[in-house]
Amino acid sequence: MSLIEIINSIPPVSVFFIGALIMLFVPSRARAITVLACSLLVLAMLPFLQDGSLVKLGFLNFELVPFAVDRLSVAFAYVFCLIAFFGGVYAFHLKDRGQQVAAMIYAGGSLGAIFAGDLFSLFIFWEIMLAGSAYLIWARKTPEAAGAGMRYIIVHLAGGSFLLAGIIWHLVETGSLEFGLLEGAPSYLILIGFLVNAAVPPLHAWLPDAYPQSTVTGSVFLSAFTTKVAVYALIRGFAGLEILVWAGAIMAVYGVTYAFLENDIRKILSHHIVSQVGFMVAAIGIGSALSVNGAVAHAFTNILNKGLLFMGTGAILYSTGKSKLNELGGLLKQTPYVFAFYMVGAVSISGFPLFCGFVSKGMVTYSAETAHYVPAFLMLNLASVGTFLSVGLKLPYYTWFGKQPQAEAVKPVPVGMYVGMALTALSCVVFGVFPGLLGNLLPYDASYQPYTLVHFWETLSIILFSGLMFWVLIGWIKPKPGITLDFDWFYRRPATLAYKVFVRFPSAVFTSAGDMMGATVSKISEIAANPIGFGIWHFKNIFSKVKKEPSPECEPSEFDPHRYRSSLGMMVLAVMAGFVFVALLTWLA
Amino acid sequence: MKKKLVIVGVLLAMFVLADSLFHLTHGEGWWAQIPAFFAFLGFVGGLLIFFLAKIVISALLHRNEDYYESDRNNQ
Repeated sequence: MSLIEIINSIPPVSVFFIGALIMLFVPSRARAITVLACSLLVLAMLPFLQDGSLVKLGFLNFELVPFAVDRLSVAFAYVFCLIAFFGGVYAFHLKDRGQQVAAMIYAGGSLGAIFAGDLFSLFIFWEIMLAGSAYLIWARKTPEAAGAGMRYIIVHLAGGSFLLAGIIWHLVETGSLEFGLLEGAPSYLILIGFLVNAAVPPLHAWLPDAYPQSTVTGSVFLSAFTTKVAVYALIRGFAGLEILVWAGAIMAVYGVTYAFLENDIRKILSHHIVSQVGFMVAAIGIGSALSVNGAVAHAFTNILNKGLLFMGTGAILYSTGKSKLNELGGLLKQTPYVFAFYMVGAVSISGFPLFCGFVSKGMVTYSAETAHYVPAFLMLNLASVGTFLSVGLKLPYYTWFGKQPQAEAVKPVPVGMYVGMALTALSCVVFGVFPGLLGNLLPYDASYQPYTLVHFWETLSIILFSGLMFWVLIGWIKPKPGITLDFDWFYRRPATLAYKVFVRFPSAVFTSAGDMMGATVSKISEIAANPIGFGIWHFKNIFSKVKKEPSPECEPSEFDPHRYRSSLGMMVLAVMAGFVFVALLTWLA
Repeated sequence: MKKKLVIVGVLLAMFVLADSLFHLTHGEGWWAQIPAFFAFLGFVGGLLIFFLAKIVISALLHRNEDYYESDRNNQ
């Protein structure tokens, strides 16, 4: 067996899972190194993977394919390994075993999902990802994170149930678990499962709810995997489904509008993920070779750009403990490098020339234009305007400028975080300057030339004039504290009502019933302890309007025979009276 | 504010002129016929997002920070 054959028979997910297992037993520095080693090892294996390699596994009566290689999977695998490596460097200072292992399981599950050759294997990895990602939210250990993590799990379990139901139905109808283009009624259930993970409105609210609550390093991983695995699944199962064009265009504008409104820096970026995934979903819906390449390219560059942005905002949260724009400002002097790295991500995601966002965004909008989806083309360009306004201008302006320079000292950012940001920033530039590197990874044959005069002119016009608009209206754009209601209202608000109806109301009924029983029992015991005394006291109180005498005391703890004398006398009197009464009757008769 | 708008107007005019002279906007749709279409899109689109976000959505859906927590705390 040659080395290449060996490589082609080892699923990358197993490398990550073995790494996670090792990490359970080694000290913190070794754990951080394991993350890096596993990502580099898989990255080194990827060029040797051959199209069509399979690993089969018997399960019950089915033959599952947990590992199948094609160009689409490999393209996603490259960027997943890159971000796992960069994220690992960024999180090098971390000592929390749980978080490190969870991140590893999450990244491994994502790699498993994109190499899964059948629907059932996909589902298994899909749920493994959920477990890893939920831990990264809970690991923040705040009450908000606990609530958001629980909502995250519930929404994803619901999505997963749709997916599984669809897969079983599909299996019953077609007798096959093969994961190719899906059609027919069962495919709609599967589609719902995918759309939940891709955060397509109105199924998106889990994302801006949960991601901002996660840990500083966890958010870098979260921003990369869940939505992009869903994009991969949509490409494989639903490329060319027209409704996705409109869903994508709407979500691109929707996400960016909410991002523009937000006050919390990590929430801005989370809403903006929705917008960027909209570009990919729209491109998948168009379904041409160029547009699907565009979706893959945009997922690729977006993982790097968004990872970098989350690293920058995470560094701000780490060093200041704050993430609200109305509390931040004037931080340029304390965190100049964080600002510089953040801006690389911001201009890249806004599509500046020489950065990777320019290449991939151009592919998507160009494919929409050539496929004559005019409204979608315009909406995607509108989303580009909003991207620059919210992520490129508003967020950095009110974080690093916007106020007098702050004198307060901030917690120093670990070197690993700087190196992680620097590497990610470098990759954003490399893939922008050498678009061929990215082009070679794309799965389908379609030529696209990003560096044309027309594309330059378009980008320059959009960026310059949206920047001018920000400059003109800067007085009105000031961030204000508070939240903006989103679709999660529909389950969070009824949840409060359900809590009232099913928890608080029964609990109130039980409490009052308990109180009533307690009061009755104590009254009965009071009467039973001294029935005559109680009777006399009660009798007196009926006739005297003012209750002067306190209730008679219960039986003293020591036995006192005199206490019962009166009642005994009464009994003798009653018996004697009975005799007299009988004697009287006899005499009369 | 007025000064800023004048600057934007002048720049926009320059873009329209440049586009009319050199035909830099290409495309298959009707927008390609409008000189400096993407400059208009940048400015007007920005205003549209500002309007949607700050005026419409903010007015209807903006709530206090503790909107969801307040119910729990009132028990």
